[in-house]
Amino acid sequence: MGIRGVWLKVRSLLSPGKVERELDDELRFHIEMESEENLRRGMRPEDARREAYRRFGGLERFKEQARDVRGTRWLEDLGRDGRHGVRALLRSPGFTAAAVLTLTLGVGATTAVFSVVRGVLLRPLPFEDAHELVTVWYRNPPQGIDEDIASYPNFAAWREGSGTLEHVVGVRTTRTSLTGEGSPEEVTGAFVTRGFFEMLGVPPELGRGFRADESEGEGSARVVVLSHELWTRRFGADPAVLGRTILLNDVAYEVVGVAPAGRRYPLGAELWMPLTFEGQAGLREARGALWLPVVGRLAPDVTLAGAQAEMTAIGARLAEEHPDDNAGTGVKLEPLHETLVGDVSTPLLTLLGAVVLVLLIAAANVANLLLARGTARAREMAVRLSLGAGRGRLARQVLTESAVLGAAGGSLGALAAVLGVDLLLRASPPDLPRIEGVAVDLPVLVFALGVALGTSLLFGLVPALHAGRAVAAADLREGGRTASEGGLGRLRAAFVAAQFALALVLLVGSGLLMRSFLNLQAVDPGFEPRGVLSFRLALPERRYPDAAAVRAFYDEMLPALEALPGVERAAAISRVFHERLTTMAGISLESRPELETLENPVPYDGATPGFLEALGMRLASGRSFGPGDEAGAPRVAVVSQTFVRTFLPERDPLGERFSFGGPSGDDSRWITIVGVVEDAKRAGLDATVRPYVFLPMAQFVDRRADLLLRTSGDPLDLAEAARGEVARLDPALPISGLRTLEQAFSGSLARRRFITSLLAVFAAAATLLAAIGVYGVMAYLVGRRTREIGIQVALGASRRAVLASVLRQALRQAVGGVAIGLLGALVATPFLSSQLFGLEPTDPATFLAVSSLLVLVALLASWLPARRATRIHPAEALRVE
Amino acid sequence: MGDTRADMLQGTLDLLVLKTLSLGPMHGWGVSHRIQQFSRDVLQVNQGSLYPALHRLEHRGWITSEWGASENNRRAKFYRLTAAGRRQLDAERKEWRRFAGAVEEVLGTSLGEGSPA
Repeated sequence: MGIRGVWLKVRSLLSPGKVERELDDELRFHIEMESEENLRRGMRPEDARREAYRRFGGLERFKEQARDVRGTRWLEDLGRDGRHGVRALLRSPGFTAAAVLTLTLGVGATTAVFSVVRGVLLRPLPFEDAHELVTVWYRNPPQGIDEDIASYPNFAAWREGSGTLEHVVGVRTTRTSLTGEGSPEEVTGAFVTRGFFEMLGVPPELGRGFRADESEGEGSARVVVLSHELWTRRFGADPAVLGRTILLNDVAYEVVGVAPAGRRYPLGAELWMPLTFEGQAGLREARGALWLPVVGRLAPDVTLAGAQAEMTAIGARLAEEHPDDNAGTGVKLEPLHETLVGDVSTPLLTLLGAVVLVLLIAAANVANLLLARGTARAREMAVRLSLGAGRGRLARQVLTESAVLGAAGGSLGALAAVLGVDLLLRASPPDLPRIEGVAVDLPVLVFALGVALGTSLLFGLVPALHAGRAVAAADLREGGRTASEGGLGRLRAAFVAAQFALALVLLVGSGLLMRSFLNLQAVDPGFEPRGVLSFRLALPERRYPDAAAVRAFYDEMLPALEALPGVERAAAISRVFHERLTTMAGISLESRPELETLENPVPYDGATPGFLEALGMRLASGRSFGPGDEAGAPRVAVVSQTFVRTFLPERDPLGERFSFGGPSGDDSRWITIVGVVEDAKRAGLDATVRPYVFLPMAQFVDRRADLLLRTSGDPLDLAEAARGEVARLDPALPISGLRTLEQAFSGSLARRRFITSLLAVFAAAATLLAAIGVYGVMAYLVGRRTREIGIQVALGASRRAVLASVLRQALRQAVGGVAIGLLGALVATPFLSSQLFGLEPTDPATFLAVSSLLVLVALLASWLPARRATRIHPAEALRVE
Repeated sequence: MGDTRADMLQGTLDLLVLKTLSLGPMHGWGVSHRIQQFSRDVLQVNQGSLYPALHRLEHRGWITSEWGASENNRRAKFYRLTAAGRRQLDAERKEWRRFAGAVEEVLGTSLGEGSPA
């Protein structure tokens, strides 16, 4: 073909007009020359020219042939159709605006939610072969626990015995204060056992990982690996950081390595240290103490099922070998990705489903708009057909118009999606995992455009086919009504019914979630979160080396805080709230030696006297802690009602004794129950309550504690004063998590609130769109029936009868749609069960309310067209075309 | 008109055009007129096929075009044979000779003086 050929093709693409003109010029020249020749031969002037044309034969057809040779015909046609389409759309701005806006909203919302789903759920973890990473859970079926963290001896046994897991590593997250150069800050870090970096396949960017002898010993290993992010932020990415010393909780650690960027586990960890048992040798042997989360990597070519089988066998063996601690327990493997995002997958997928429904409803609206437009242009199409335009060509033109609409809607939708993602991220609950990976990037934009084009092309097909079909000449007559128009009306009505069905599903889902949320809010938390300021203190070991020092601190701190104006009560508790995998320990009860220790892990916290008043918890029987419960005094505890119900039913708990770990002869290990508190939902409103235990802070000293200040006014007013008091006692002590207890508590509802509100917005949008759809179709149908109604009125029908007949028509459509929607909802809502609280997925009240609402909406939306119908004058109606 | 006949005629037309242009650059009408002249009016070029042929040849790189002034000072598009076109012409001429020779064998007639090849 040659360079010349390519150049010519390019030229005809870039400046088709010019090329056409040149062709015209060339032909004109030829005709002129031929005409002159004819004249010379003696023809008459008027014949000369005509003869020239005749000899040429079919000018147009040949021009097409010439164009064919150029081979770019289809592209030129597309361009021409496109420009034509744009002009046609601009001629009906109302329609175009409505269609583009609807598409923008639908596509934008879908794309935004899709971006979030993609970033959070679909994106694989940033480690090599991340699908091989698994969480190793400790199962305790007798206690009803399917996923729990492990004890060290069990972890070691798993590691030893497993051939299918190439790596087994314990990872314990912690918060440490980083001091030294720069302002002190609290960072998240992790203690890890041997082989951590090897398991992740993440070789350090700088320096080294940990040596085998540095972890799991009884001595100290004061080495630390920094995250890339921490290294950049605090140390200016200085390569000389290796070998430097940093202070973690006032203890010096040597920096031996820097991890590469972005590949962190646990998510958000800023530094890693080797796990050691310094000062806690007991934890090494205590099979019953559950404190170590375990992850592992499958060996090459091993499936999850295969590894699970082996681990189950190992778990069974351990249960047999150690009946005291492990009886009835087992092991469960779960892909790490699932562990991290499993909680949010249902809500997010629900949102995605909801937004797709909204998109479908929006698309149905666009389809209806396109159909309405098609009907209006039917006569124009008929004229063009009769003038010889090809049917296929006409259909292609209409389809191209839809494509232009789709492209416009898609582009604007992509822009809207960028905005939407920003809004979503800002409004999202703070604990949504992996949101840092949510972005509107190329695949997402392609998705948006694809959705828009797909929608508009799909729904543009019907009008296109309609345009291409041979339209009877009768259409050209004024007032012509064809069967196809009736069919069109039915199609539009079908679309509206579909819209109603979809809107119903959305509204039901939203209604169920909203009621769940309200149910949750109504739950009695068991304590009073309002009016309390809380913050966290962590006393570093170096300056508070032993229990006496910690006690002394609190002995001074608490009265000082209580003395502040406005403070009614001050107290310290190890932790107010329990996370899902909170630290627990097994206990044995003196009066029930038959109960196995490990079957009863309970959360335990130290608390200062006054914790009851500070938290607003209620005492059911016995007493709280007092000044007599100090170090050296007989050990006492306050337990929850669930504790009593679980372990000491039908007994008076006061005076009963228990101990941590197995029963022992050492009398001083026994703890006497002196009080029972009412259950408080310390693990969140929707979590099951565990049997928990409070120990006096004086007897069970905890370096880290939540401090609570109860006031009758606004807790935040106390913030400055509290800070001042702490600084006065110890200026180098950082305070973290300063907020009201209510803020901390409602955080547990944050995720639920987010999903519920979002779904409500979608449901409202869907209902609005469906209402618009009904309005449009009813207006159209009334228009069609104008003559018929006019006749009815002329024959004596009352206005009310006309109104009723129109509304009946609307009702029929709505009820049809609602019925289908009910079926769909019955199928869909069971998927929501995990999110529901206090009601069933088939809750009849919700279903009934939503159905009635939609029918009402349909009637309201048809009101205007119905009224217009009653205003029809018979005389005008009979004249109408 | 069957396809093969059209193809053959198309190929023949191409050959005629190339040959005509080998005598010097010319505009489209001139080519058609010249072919008519030299074939002593035996070959009437279907003028509707001429321009597609010219474009085809140009796309293949065997001829090039440029706008210029005609004998009577009108704007016209002139075509010229390229080096590749000249080579093609030789090749096609050989091919034509072979073809015509074969037909001749079959029909038992000889190639006359006035053949356009």
